[in-house]
Order: sequence, then C-alpha cells, then structure tokens
Amino acid sequence: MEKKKLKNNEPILDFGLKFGGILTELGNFTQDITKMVEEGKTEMSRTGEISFDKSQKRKGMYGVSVRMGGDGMPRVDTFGRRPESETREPIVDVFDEADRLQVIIELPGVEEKDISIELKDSTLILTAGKGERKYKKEIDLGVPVKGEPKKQYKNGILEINLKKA
Amino acid sequence: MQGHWLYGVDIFDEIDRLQVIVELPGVSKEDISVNVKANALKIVALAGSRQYHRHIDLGVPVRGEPEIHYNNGVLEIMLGKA
Repeated sequence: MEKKKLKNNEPILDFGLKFGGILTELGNFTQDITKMVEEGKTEMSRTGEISFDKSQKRKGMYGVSVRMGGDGMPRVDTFGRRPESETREPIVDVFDEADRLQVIIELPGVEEKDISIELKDSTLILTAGKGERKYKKEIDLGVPVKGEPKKQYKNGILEINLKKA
Repeated sequence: MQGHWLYGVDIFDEIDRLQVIVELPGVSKEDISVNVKANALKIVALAGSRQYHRHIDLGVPVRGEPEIHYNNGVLEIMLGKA
C-alpha cells in the first residue's frame, strides 16, 4: 500500500521574530519550489541565520523543508534551532497506514536512552537529547490513537508505530 | 541541489587539526564515503531514498587519512592540518 502523508503539523515559522528578512528569503524559496517541480525533484530545503540585535550576539537558525508527497502536494515543514534555547525542532514525517500511523523523527546525535515520547489525546510529545543536542516537538497526529507506541531507533532516526483508536 | 542538505556542518579548528561534524541521519556507516582533496572534503552517503552529497571547503590544507566516527546519525571527521 502506498504511504499517504498527513497534513502539516505546524504553521510555517513560529519563531516569534521580525519577519522582514525571512519573508524575503521565503520569496526566493517559492521560486526554488517552482524550479524544484520543473526539474522533477521531490525534496529541498532552505536554511539561514537570523540575528536578533545589532550586536549580533543572539542568533537563531531557521529552516524550511519541502517534500513532494505521492499525491503531488508539496508538504512544508519548519525545523531549526530556537534562539532562546539550544533546543531544536526535529524533522518529522507522519504516514497514515490504514489502521495505524507511522511517525518518523530525525534526531541526529541523540542516544536512544535520551528519547522520551508521551501521548496526549491525538498529540505526540517528543523530548530528546541532552547537552548541546536537544530536540522537542509536539506532533498533532490528527486522529486518536490507542495502546503503547512501538519505538525503534537507529542511526539517528526514530520510528514510532501507533494503532489508531 | 542534490538530496538532503537539511543539516548544517560544524567545523572546529583545534590548533593542529580540524574536527568536522556533519549530521547524516538514516544511513549506515558503510554507506558513507569521505574524500579529502587539498582544502576540500567531499562526503557522499547513499542509503536508498536518503542521499547526502556534501562538499565542504575547509579553508586550510589537510594531510593524512581522515579519522572517521559515525554514531546516532552524526559523522565526525578528524583531519590533521598540513
């Protein structure tokens, strides 16, 4: 069965910043997406740095990734490092597979023992990592799930299987 | 643009050597090839749908064989400065 992508989990850019520079970047990004479609590519991303004050002491990273779904609809995700902490938003994919959901989360640099997931209704809350590499994300699954999630972690990729309620 | 470039590269300058840290989640160590030429580092990792091609300008010449570690999706490369 072909995997089907769910809707986006988060709105674009929730960093709470001034958007001027970012929007310029995103303008270019839109052109890149058009080019990507023309060239038949299925995935791309754009990252950049954001400065918060003139002294440039506080910097944040932002990123946007776009993947073309099997249905021909582009899916946009944000990822990056929030400037106020060293916690990053990981890249997440949610696949809808008939009676279950598969969630794939990219957590490079994290040890398996430092991963914790929690289910609250149809939201999956992920906290992972320690020290310099910390990730956190609340993932809206879109549908209620039941039972214990099955986890598998390898090479920085966490795979979670959940049964639909 | 080719494949993933979702992740950043960190280069640490440590007096007589360089430490390069690249995030390559989802590949196995056997899938990674690292090539050093003059001042540049070329990293290719091909694992099915996950394909990484990274070309990194080191800024300084390096010598010798790179020392490579891969753990939990993070590649760490140690290079001696020439």
